[in-house]
Amino acid sequence: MSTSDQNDRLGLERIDAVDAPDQWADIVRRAETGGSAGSNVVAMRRGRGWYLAAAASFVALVGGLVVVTQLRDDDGATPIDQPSTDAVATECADASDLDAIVDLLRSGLPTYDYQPADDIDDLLARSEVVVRAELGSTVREDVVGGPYTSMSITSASVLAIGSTSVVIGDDTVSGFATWSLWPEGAGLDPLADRVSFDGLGVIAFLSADDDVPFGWRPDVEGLIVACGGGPARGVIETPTFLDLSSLDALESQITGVEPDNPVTTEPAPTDPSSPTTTSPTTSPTTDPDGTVPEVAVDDRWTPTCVDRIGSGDAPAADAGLDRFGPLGAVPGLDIVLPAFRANDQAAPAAVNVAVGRVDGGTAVLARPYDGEDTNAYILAVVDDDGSVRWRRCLDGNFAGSMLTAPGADEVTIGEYAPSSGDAAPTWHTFALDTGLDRDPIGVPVGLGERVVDGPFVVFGPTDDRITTSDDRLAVLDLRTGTIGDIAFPPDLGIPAFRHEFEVIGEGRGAFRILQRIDGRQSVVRGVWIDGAWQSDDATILAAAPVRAVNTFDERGWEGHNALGEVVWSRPDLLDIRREGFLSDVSDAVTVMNACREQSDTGCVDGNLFGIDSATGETLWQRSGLRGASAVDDGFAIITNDTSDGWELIDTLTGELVDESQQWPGIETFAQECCGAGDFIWVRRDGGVVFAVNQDHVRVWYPQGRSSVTISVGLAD
Amino acid sequence: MQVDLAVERVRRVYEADHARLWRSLFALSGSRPLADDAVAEAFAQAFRRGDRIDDVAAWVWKSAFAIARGELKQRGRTSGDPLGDRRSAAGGGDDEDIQHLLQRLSALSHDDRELIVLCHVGGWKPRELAPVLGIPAGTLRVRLHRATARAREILEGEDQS
Repeated sequence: MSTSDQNDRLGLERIDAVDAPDQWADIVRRAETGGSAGSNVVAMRRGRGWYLAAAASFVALVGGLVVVTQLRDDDGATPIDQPSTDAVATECADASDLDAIVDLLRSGLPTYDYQPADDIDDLLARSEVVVRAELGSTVREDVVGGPYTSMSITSASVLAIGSTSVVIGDDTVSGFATWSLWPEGAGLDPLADRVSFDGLGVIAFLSADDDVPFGWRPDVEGLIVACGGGPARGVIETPTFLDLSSLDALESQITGVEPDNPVTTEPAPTDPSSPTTTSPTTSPTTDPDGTVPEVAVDDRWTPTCVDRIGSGDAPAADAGLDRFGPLGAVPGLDIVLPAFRANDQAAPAAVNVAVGRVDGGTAVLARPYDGEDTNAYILAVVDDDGSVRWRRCLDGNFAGSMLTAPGADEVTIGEYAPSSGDAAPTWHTFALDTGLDRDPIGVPVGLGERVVDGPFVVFGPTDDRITTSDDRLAVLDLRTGTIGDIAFPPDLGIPAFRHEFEVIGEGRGAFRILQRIDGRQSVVRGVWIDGAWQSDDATILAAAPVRAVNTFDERGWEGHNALGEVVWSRPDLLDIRREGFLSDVSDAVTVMNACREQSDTGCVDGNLFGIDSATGETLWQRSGLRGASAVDDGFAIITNDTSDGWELIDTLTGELVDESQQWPGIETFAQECCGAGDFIWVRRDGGVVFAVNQDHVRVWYPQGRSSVTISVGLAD
Repeated sequence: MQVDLAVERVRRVYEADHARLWRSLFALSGSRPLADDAVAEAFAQAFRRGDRIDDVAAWVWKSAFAIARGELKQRGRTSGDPLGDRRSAAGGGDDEDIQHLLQRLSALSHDDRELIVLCHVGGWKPRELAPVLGIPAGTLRVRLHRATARAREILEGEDQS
């Protein structure tokens, strides 16, 4: 349980006492009748009569736009009783038509919170491709992850290509989509059926997004339409620096400016054969220390960030730091993060950080974050003695993943192309001893990341298509930099985005695929152990211990074996229904917060429990819901009885280890929630605990390692 | 049987989420009637869509807030006050403490208020909320961090004074 937020709901917990009415009867009545007396919900029906009625409403909605309905079958006769599947065609002839069309395309789109582009260079830099085309049709698609306003295009030509790993041709982009929602309570949805256009031109600044129809998403400021050769308009937002006198003028403006990285690359090939480990698809440079970069200086940071390349003499790994246990009285290191201010911003940006153990030190990645992506970050390694081994001042869009592992000789980070959203990042590597660049890792395009187990990282698809045994998971071994691929289990047949991956049995590279169904429930669909999909129940069960699972409902906590079967049940231990620490595992013990019962006002009789993971038996309990910031290897750091500090307990007994293992100050190992959790959190990596609080990363070492705190400026 | 399954799916979400959803919309709008209508309409529409919805809970929350947003906007256009009848409608049995709390909450922008009630009344975690709202998780976390800071000033500042 996060300490400061254990009861910190800003006073809004008082609203829990407000009686909510029972509306079930009203809901059923509305569903049966198709609407309430007070609402203007219209049940949608197919049929020619409906189309004419819809057309009339559409005319009323857009103020006189001419609508042509085309309802024809193959012999040209107009069906009367058959539902028509033809779209309603909309002519785009003049400025009033364009206004109505923009309103139509804009319908259901949310208000955007975005960072405006500075100029056309900026807008191009954050787009992967810019196309000009005829906008053929649009419809609101209620698909998984949506709904979306999707727009199909024809006669496309590529005007510019940004930084992308997708091969772009004129026929690559056939449409694009953006999230939208038209609640029926707001009236008839004008895009419930496909609307086609005649004479509507478009220029779109696009980024790849596997989650949307067509796989492309327009920039908030990058969707420009016009009727023929007339003046153009932005559909969502309209930047002032674009020449909107016509699409021809805008095209000239675009093609007259070169994007920074006009690159098209082939996606890394995957081997469709049976499971095999292959060599990296990209080769390291002939220089074993990597590519020597120019020394970068970035004065947006304070202190100014200046590259520092390591000498190559890196400390060896320390096996004494591998297991978690009693810690020192004070942190061994206090790494101070620099401040960041973009050139045109008045206030400094928030800086968040990723950390991880590497041999002989700590890898730190600091990134400014100001609501939108800021193209800058610092990647560094700080040795355990407090010296900065190396530091790189990088100009890119960090993808949120820094991959490190014991025994690895490089640090790997993911980097997105500008404003590419959730598109697959490029995985850059840096030599661990010097910080020099090495070649990127060739993860196949279109795959997302799932960290599996220590040095193994599994990349699986994240889109909504059905997966088959022809699809591949890519498995990266961080220790060697090699990527292997494995096929999905046979007959999986579920949309890719519903895959969840869970580690079972640490250190064996074993994992299972879960299919998420209807919210929080998951079922086991495949188990990968020792290099193969296992079907023998005994093998699967032996591979992993029983795990305690929170059902989040009246079933409380259950014990699930590796097949997902329920082996024990504790309906007397209920979910706490709030932010904060839920559970963690130390060997055979699950440490969890739970409530004896739930009332309208929340948790009743909440406590911290130690549960035998195999049987569900209560081993111990400590009174009150607690924060727990590090749990493993037989120990856990929890909040103390007075909630003004922390203590280390033995997870078998729940008792304080000894008097030396107490730390004052609730902020010492605090973890926040709800956005602040990006800046105040705790992570354990082996026997080292990282406590991040705003611009400080405090590194706690095992007891006896250090008795003083060394302060280190990351940019000093 | 199919219809029964669809009803059962919505019923389960109703039993698990209705109270929190209603209170969230009540906190957002300060209006019982608006919360009643938005919640009931969202669930009813979920019924009518049957098994075309994969995640009923996420769909209902998203739709209910969208309906409420539209209604608040409409009230703002007709009355000139975007909060419409929130102050008067918040009464009807709600004690002064609650009314005062909602009035202070109304000092936040709509977007901030929405995030605050979703997390601190609705109980949503940011990583679950991002796909429901259709915005990147990172953007959501930063917005929420700032909204929480602003809300704390407004909600707790008055308590201290």
